[in-house]
Amino acid sequence: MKKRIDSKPARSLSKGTKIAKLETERTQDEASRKRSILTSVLFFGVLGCFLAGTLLFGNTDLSYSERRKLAPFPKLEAKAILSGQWQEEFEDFATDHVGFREQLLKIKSLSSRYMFGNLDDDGIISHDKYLIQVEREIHEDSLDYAAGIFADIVQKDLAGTSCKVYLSIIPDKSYFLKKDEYLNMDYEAFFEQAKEKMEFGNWIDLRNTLQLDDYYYTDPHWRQEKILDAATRLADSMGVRLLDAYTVKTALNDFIGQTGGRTMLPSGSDTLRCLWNEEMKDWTVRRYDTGKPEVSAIYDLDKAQGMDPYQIFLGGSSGMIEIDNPHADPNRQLIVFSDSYGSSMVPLLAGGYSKTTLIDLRNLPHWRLKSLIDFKDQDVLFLYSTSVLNASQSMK
Amino acid sequence: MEFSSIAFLIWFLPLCSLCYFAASRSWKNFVLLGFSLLFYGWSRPEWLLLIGLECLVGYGCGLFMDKLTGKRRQLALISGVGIICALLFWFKYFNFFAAIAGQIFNADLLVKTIVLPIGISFYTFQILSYLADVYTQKTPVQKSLLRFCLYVCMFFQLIAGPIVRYSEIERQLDDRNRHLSWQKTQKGAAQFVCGLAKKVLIANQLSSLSVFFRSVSTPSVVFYWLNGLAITLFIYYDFSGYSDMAIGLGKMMGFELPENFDYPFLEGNFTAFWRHWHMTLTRWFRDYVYIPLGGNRKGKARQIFNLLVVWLLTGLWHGAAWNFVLWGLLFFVLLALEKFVIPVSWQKTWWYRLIFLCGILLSFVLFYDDSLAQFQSDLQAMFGFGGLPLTNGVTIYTLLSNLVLFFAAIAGCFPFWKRQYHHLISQAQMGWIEPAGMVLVLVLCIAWLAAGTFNPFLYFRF
Repeated sequence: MKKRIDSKPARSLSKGTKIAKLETERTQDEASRKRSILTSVLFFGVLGCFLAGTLLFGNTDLSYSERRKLAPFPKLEAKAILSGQWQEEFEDFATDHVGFREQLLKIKSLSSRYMFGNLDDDGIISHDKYLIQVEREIHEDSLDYAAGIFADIVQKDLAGTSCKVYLSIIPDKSYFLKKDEYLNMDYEAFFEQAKEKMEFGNWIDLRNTLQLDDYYYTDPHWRQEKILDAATRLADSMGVRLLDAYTVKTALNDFIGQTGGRTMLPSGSDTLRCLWNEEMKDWTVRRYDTGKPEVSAIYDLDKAQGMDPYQIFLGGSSGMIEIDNPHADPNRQLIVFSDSYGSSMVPLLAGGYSKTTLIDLRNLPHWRLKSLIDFKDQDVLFLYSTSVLNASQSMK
Repeated sequence: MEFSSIAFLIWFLPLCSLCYFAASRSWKNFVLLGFSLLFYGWSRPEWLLLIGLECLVGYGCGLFMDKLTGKRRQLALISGVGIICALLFWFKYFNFFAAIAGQIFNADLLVKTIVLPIGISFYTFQILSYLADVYTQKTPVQKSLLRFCLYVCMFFQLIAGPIVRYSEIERQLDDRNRHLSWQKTQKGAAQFVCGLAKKVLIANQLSSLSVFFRSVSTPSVVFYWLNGLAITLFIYYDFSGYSDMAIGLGKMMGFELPENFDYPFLEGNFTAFWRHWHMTLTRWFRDYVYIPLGGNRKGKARQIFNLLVVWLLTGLWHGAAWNFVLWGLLFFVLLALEKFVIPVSWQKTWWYRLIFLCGILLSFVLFYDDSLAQFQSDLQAMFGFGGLPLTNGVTIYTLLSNLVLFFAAIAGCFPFWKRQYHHLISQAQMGWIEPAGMVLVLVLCIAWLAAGTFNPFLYFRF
């Protein structure tokens, strides 16, 4: 009996607990259902947002930050579809035109650096706000290849002429890091090896005329307004005088260079400037992009708004560019073999020569030189950056 | 098309889901089959002819087996299995054996125009499973061609598994037995995003790391071991990530696919490892090769022979190359040793666990290397016979630069984090974590894909 009496409140408590439990379960189920709906809607919502972003904002042809053309929507053709080529091109198009792409690239770059702690972003580091593509290994085969081409020019085109040959190497930004810092290569060894392999001219050492702040934060190139020391060293070694004074012109504020387009690591902001002297107005510039000469300008400021603003210098790289300077000594002529670094240096050197010819061997095969240039008694300067010499396979 | 591509995530998946969820029940299978065929024929439309032929052969032989009896029924089975296996042999193995024969007879027997159709190993095994199950009457014949084609072609498990046995999915092929719910969609989406993160954020980075390893001209002994670790973790995350995406997608569309990986590195021996690694493949070989051959019921010698056959086939299934054959044989030896030689008490010790982990790492280096010669040179370097320093600046830099990646990849091999996560989201006030976390990870994955990061696809080999 006692037991029965005792069990009554226990039973009623159990009923109450059951109700409370059921109530809790119902609340939990409801919360769980709401969460399921929210998660599902968000999942498809995010994908839908990117699809909408692609349709609404993804119709640009160029990526200014990456400095490249984006993949176009492929032409619908039965043959292309059956071969799978259309589908492949569509995938490229989809990747290139995904909505909010610029923001996504930033997220990727920042998460790579700060979430995964990668010390570099595909070989690019941010050092004192300078974005530097680290050169990690000396590619001796590349140095040999470049040396072979230069030697070929010296032996086939310059032999028997009164041309004076000069060689100089422009250190890229990675040179200013310590050896082994971020796996940086041994630059002293690189310069030594280059000298050993290219023993056919007078070497001009530019290293102590340059510092890291002579280069752009976001671009691998040097800043023209900061390389007067290097230009003077070259001019002195070749026995000519540069123009006396320059005024600095701004071509583009907020310049984002090549490296800046490849990473979103923090960097300083750049201004693209060029050096101007009124004498330059009288110079004639001819480009040989198509084989026929086309009159151009020392600085093509329209290109500052283009995909590669660094092309303002001589209008960008070309197989051959000639500059005639009517004010200079008519007996002095210069032929410069160089890469893109040369296009900002040559306008300064041209002040000392009546005719300056800039050759880019990446666009003009060296076996064509004899038919284009009359080698006589010019100064011939091989002016190449470490990065191009270390990856010289594009030279012809 | 890969799951881990912008084209799939931003275009295919939303459009497919929209059509699938909007379609009435009776149209759902048509929609799913249509999108599956689009998915499969995307990169090479002519492969649709092959998969179509295989579907017809499998479906037809099933019907014949259902109607016939005795030897004619057996003939239907043999015909079906023969045709399906012959197609697999032609596309995947012909050139491998032709090269061997060519070496023996000093002749060029290679057919250079053969291109390996993506996923052929997976759907071949599914059709074989169907034929075997129908023949042994474990499951009724599928009379609907639509449902049979759906079983073979479902896009989410078509090219990288899990290998679904017909008997376990037969009911789900009938749209009346499939139920869609918010909860399933949520679970599926979560598993898909988890798999996507495994693939995009971990596996792709590990793979690009192994490419970097190959480009370095001054490696060290430790560097080679780091490479081995990166390869092992890459294969795990790539494969299990893809499986998770497939299972997640299936779940969203109302299918329950079997799990494929269950923390395999936690096991202390090779036998247990294979119970948790690519479980659907192991199970397939057990049910359709090992047991029919007699399993362990016909004496020790026969059991060893059966194991040899299973592991030789497992190796060959992964690829038509000698390193896969050797990889299979290696596991045959290890499993046979564990079964018959090494005492069970040893297999529970810490030092055996260490041997197990080193063995797994070396086996995956063999699996991943392009040739046996490369594996031999890797092995020499790893054990100090390559004349390399123990460590150097490149090694330390690589380790430091990828420390978080390695830590995350190793940590993900333990169920601890998953348990903690589930415990966290089960708390009432923490309900927001799951949707917020999922959005964050999804956006992060899309960002890495949009940046065009390294995105290799291991399954082209299978």
